Amino acid sequence: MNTHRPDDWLDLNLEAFLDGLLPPDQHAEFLRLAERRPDILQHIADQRQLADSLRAVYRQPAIAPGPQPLPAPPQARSSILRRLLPLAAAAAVALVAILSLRPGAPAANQPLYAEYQRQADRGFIPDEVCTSDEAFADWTRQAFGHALVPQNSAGQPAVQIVGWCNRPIFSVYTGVLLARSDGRGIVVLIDKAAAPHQPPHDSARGPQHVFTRTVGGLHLYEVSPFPEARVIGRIVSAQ
Amino acid sequence: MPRPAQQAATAAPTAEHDFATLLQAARPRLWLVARAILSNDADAEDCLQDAAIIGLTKHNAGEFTPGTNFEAWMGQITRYAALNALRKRRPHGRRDDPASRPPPPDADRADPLRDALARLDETARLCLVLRIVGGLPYAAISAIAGIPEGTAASHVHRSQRALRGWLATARSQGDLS
Repeated sequence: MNTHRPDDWLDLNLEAFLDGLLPPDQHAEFLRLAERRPDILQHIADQRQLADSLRAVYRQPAIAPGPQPLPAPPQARSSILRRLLPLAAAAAVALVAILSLRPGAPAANQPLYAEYQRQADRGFIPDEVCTSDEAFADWTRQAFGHALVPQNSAGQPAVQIVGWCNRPIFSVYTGVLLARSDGRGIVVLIDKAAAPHQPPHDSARGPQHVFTRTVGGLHLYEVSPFPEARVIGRIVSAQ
Repeated sequence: MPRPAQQAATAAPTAEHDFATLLQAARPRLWLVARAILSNDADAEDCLQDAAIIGLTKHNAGEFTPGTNFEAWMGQITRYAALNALRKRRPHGRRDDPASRPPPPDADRADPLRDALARLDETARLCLVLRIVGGLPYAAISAIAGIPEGTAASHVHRSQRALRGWLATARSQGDLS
């Protein structure tokens, strides 16, 4: 017996839809359903507005430039604690100093981190939703003059191409591909221009990992919370 | 054949990873854990410092197994630190009963969304924030909050429904642009 209430069905599918986790055919079906159901459209709009509002409430404050003062350590109750606590406190002072400093990310990668944060603030919702590999190939062909397609990689973490938008980051042609893996957003910047004066490069420093690759003359820059590239390794030139 | 993607310089967490490096990478999500429970930035920052000291002490005592999920481990420590801080604020011996909570401070009353968030149970608010703002999968939320994944998902869905009610009210009152 199906014990799911209608609200549960909508919540589950709405969440999967907004997270880009529905298979392409179900994603397209949900879109068609939403177009016929104003209440579902309103739910989608409400959910996006709620997500934007929550991100504004819980926006992390900028880290102060200098080390923060630590609270005084508690009085030790035993000789062991009396020896350990000063060491822990000294290490924690160094730790807070480290935490107070901006990460030592390469300057050339800063536009990537900024774009990642911008997309995170928007909930990784694209301007154009990816409905098929053919749609992805059409977009890359029209935007960059060279068609790309994603390849499945057996044994690799699942990745959902959510969609894309265009942003003038390295040139007026820079495309921003949005993907999801394990429920977390990945941003891939694509540009056909010759590498900028200071090209981004692979780095594990900074708020996200950065990976780079060139395919068919196009430069791909993956900005990801994961320690391994999950998207750009699968993108190949279309036949 | 296209060139393989170049790999990041950092390998998966190992015993050699510095605690500070791991903590710095996890800091944005840990801040969300503290902030979701404590409801203001200053208390969240204090809680993070307390949790960092506790975590460092436990890490040096060998209580963290290298290669396991550092963020989930520190997330639990941060959650306990935040709940302890919250308990110290409440009148002694008083259980957490949403109906008996004092009304939100005037600053929150001026903001209907913050008011609505303050009326959620701490665990529900934590799950909601980690999911919507932190973008964490339910498995990670479950590990931090110490509840089953299905329960975490229920918290998120019910909280969203409650807050969508706030949206409808705010819209009808013209509070939203």
